Amino acid sequence: MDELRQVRELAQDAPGPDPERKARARHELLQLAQHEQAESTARPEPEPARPARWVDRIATAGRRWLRPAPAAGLAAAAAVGLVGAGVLLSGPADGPSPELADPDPAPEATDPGATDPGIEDPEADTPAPDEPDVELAASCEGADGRLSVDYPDGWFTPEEGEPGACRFFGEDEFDVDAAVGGAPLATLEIAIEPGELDGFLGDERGFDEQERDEPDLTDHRTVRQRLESTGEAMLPDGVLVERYLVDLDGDTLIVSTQADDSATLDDRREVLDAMVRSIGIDDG
Amino acid sequence: MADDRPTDAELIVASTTDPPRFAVVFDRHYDAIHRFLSTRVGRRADDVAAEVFKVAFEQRDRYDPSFPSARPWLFGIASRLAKQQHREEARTDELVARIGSEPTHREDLGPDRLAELAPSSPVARAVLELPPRDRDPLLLHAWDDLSYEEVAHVLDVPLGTVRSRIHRARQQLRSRLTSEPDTDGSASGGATHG
Repeated sequence: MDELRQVRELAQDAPGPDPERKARARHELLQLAQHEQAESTARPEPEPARPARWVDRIATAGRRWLRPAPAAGLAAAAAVGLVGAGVLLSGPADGPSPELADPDPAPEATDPGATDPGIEDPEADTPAPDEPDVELAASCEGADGRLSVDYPDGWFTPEEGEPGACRFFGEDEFDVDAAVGGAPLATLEIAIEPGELDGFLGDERGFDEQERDEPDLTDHRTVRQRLESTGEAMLPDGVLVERYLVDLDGDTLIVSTQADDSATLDDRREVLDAMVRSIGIDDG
Repeated sequence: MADDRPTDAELIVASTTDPPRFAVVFDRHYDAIHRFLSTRVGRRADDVAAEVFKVAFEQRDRYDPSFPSARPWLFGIASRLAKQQHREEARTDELVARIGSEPTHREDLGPDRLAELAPSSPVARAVLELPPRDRDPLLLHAWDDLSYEEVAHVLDVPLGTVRSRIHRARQQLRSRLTSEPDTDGSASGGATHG
């Protein structure tokens, strides 16, 4: 027994791994994982679940807004620190990972007011009862043309044809590749994930839920959550995540952002609420 | 308190559809794999440990989910890569010897990195004097904290074989340590004893 204990004591005294090399190894592994995921996401479905030409459908059939768009207001003033991309968290087990940018290029962000009024909901001029004091002065189309969203003037999203266009948004310009790799650069992320909304609830692997409510932001069921990372998933311990889940009848729209402190998320909530209100979905 | 964290097997299965989840497996086991490799490949442990997880990721569809812990599987990959490293080094040495030069990488070879980690330890010297087939299971069990069953899995030998080899290794260790002088043991023949 004693000789085993002596060997164990030797092991305890042995130097650990170089933290820098360990971090690099982890980063490379993640890149490998994300590359694989991007490839699988880009792979065409054997039997397309929905018509392929979403952009055409929008142009001809019109976009259905999740909720009547708010009237223009003041410029967004959310000057908060940049946070990490890829915070959609894990959803249903068979769904794609949230850590990747949409591999399909999305249309470029358009100028304020450039949205074709012909595709807006007739009720768009009717402000929502709890309309925020935030102006979303730019808009773009993402998720392969399936969604459009307004965002604050001056915010950045990759240009049409680049990965992450109209999916990752930042208060400052950021490098898309770095954001996809998990670098703390993008402010928020919007994506449509396959799976029912309830499949995303109670399955926040590596996170503790701090708050949950169902705000009246859209005509669809919308759940807003605040989560705290436990350090067991992709984020370090203690990172706060605010995410919105919008039920799209089989798919779930997810808007998420993260920060190190609740005050930042509280400040950002108004902007996020407004952005969620502005989202338009072409659901056929 | 019950541990409701997902098992390694669950994470690996989930990573087939959600690849980044494999990072949690990395977080759980990297240090242990590195410690294992530090006694096998010395300062190349960082490189080889990174390679272990890349190989594991690429081969995760072959993982047997009936094993909740991925430790034996990862140690098995690490063991294979360490041996591969030794073979490559040996080939290099052979080539160098053939052209008449001195080997330049010999100091990086073999499991005797233990001596580098604990140069003045009589225990390290005694372990190094063990025959490899007894030393490997002993180190996996005592240094790397694997159970007998896990050692059997890593070395791909029957459980009874692991028990007997570790038993024999302990007997030899005990014998060497009791005959070791109190100081640096130079009088015993220590590390140079074959």
